[in-house]
Amino acid sequence: MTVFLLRRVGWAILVLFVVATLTFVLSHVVPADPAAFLAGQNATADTVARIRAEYGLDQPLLIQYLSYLRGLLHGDFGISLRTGRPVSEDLASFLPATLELLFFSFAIYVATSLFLAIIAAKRPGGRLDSGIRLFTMLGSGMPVFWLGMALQFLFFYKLGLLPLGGRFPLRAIAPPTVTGFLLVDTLLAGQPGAFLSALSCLILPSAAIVLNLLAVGTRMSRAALISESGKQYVRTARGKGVGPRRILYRHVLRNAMTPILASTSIQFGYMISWVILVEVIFDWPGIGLYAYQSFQVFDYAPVVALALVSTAVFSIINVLLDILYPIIDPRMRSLRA
Amino acid sequence: MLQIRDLSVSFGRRRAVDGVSFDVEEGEFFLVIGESGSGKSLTGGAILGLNPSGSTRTGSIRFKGREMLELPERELRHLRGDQIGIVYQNPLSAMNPVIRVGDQIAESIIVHGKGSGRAAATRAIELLERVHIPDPARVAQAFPHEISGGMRQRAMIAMALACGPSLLIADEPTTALDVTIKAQILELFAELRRERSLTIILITHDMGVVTQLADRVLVMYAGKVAEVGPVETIMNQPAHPYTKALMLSGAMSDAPFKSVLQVIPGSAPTLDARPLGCRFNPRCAYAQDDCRATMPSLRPIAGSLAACHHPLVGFRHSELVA
Amino acid sequence: MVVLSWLFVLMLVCFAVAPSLIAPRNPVALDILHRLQPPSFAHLFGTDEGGRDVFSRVVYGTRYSLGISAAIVLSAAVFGVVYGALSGVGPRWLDEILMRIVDIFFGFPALVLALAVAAALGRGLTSVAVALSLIWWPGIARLVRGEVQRIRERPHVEAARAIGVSPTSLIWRHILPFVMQEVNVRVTTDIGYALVAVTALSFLGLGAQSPTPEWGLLIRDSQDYFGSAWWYLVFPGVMIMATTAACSIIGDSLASHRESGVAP
Repeated sequence: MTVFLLRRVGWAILVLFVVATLTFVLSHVVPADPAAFLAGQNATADTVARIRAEYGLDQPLLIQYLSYLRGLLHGDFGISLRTGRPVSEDLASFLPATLELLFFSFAIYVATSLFLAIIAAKRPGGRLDSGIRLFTMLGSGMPVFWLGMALQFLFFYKLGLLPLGGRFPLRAIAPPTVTGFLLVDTLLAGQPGAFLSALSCLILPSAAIVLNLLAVGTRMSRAALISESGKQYVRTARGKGVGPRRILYRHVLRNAMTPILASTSIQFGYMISWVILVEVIFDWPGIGLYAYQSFQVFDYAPVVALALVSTAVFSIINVLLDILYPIIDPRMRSLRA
Repeated sequence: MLQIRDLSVSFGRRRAVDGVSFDVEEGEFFLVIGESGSGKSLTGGAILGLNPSGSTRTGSIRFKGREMLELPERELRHLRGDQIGIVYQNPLSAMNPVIRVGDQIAESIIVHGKGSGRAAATRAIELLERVHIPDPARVAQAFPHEISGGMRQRAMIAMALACGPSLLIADEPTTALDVTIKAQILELFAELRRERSLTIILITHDMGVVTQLADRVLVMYAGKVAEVGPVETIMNQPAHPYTKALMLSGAMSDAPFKSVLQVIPGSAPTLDARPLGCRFNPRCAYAQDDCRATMPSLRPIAGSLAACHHPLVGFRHSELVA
Repeated sequence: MVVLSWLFVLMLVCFAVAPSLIAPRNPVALDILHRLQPPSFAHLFGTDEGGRDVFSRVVYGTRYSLGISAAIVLSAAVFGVVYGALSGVGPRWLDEILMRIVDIFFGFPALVLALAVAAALGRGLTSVAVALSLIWWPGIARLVRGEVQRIRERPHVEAARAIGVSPTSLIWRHILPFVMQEVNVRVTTDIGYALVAVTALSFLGLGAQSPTPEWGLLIRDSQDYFGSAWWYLVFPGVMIMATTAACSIIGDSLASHRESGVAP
């Protein structure tokens, strides 16, 4: 088990290394003059020369590459030209917002897709099943950025129910930062009103993400539930006099979790990508919006940081899932021992 | 204890079990035997209302005077596992792979409100000991895939016995077990019956089972009862040609049903292609015109009940062996 | 539905090949007097903030949006088929190495990497095409490799090998034709998904630049106006959705044909 985990972690580090190298090659080798690229279109020759020296771009590529890797190991992503601050500091202030949106959406996604799958699997082919399929297909058919804007149109412009964007109303008083997650911090500070404001800002961005992914998630969970319901151990449980609810929650659901988790990993990759798009649409102050605003002005370091951080988050989630499998399915423990 | 009258289990218009009647007495060891597709497992499942979705039951099943076909699902659920225990074949797939063996046994006790938590867990270990599992405390903590096939089948039996039922239905409990383990499991059934005065219905296609243990035998063919009677009569004086073929295969080897196919030409008819008249007639060496025209009904022949127009008389098992 | 989807794709092809014959107006000519007009007979899809005809822009945009998507998937397919076939028929060690490389691509959120690559290459549809091709091929390579290995085990291949058919001819005549059926299905469906990715990157400002009438860019440009001009947001989006749906429907129909057409 430990060996298995070490291998998984080693793999994650390899993937990060590949991403780091790829982005380095692209930003240092492909542009004819990276300094000019970094300085922007209207820079003077002087500025370009200064940047070249400042970034060590006058040194051999290999030396640059090694110092770049060494920097990454120490959490140094370079300096953002746009904000003038180290990218790592910017990340620290923007990452909690991204994670909050990501985890909130993920929780809603898991809960909703399971809930819909349970209802749909009750009578496969029934009216409810078809209805759920149609509804989720509709959501996944819409590009997530378009869906986000459509939600804005409906719930802000037409109904005026929810905010257009942002993470917290400008006029409201933000709670003291403890976890960086506004939903948690407002509760810790005992401000239920602020909690509701934070929640109202979260609803539309997460809805856009979740609606887009629901079709696949529900289909996977539904298939897993139906296949497990036909297994012989279900008949045994009925033979023991176990009622349908307990059969669903104690027997079927636990067995269905393994295939459901497997599909979750892939879906999480999409979710990270969608979060970035959604942050741009909803003006959500996370690392996606930060990187977006940076590359609008040809500031590339934040984009590299975004790629690395999201790969790291994705890897961590995958390792966590790998730890979860054998907890849920004991047969996997002996397989990996 | 159990009276079954004219029981049919149908899928749409097709009757997989077609008008089966028999009684099981208190404390009896009753054997139901037939090839796969004969409807024997459906008959067993029908007693508990555990038939596959899409099937309907008609007729009458009275258990301790109560009409099972009229009981609502809720009450049936109270009977299952409590009054009537059921053991399935192939315990590796019949047990939940992600729940510990002890917890699966305890669940029966918990859902029937006969003890909760710790009490049920202790009881589960006692039950494992009762079915002669060595180191029961350790096995209770194991997952099904971590113990041997014989142990799993014993654990299944412990699960069925958890609430002290008076009737145990065992649906091919020895399939997929090797010969020595099979004998041990059968011995366990015999022992439980002696010591607990348990009524047992054993459903099997395995002729090796018949001889030693059972009191009475019911032979099913293509959804119908071919013959029913005391085990000695069935063994020594089978009246139905199909029973005779079964005995012949059983006498030849311990091997399961494959050998019957060698003894009797052809194969059992599918649900859609049942012949007119006696359903066994295309494969029967003794078939005559009336066998192809009318379906024989059960009638007493030489100590048993058989559904045959031309029963075998004076046939002796010993002749066969010789 | 299948016929409808084919008709829709045929229409898109016409849009892409000869937009000037279909579009009623110049897609980039400004007409400030008629800015943000709702849909009417004069402007089927309304007008944008510069008074340009949204319908004409959508028609002209087909070439960019759909053309780039098709180019991405086709180039990824060419590379993926070669790569996957090599992995499928090659020796074990080669297969192992090639598939580990593919696995790396499944280790990160693909669209984020594409975003980083496109941003590094500079704005423009070419960058988007390169970036998305780079992340697109591994999926196809994995599919091809699996198919090759599956079909290699089939009796007709075994038989061909037994009678001494050369390895090259084995691959070209006995394995690849079956693999390609699978690839065709995948390519068809993937063009729809690539369209979503292309428009997403354009939406972020990485792809086509104004005033190119690319669909994703249209949606990006509508951001400041759609609250009062729904048509500006709705029609480009509907085109993307309809194209994606048509691609999946056609892909599904190809898949069912393949199942009935080939003896196992």
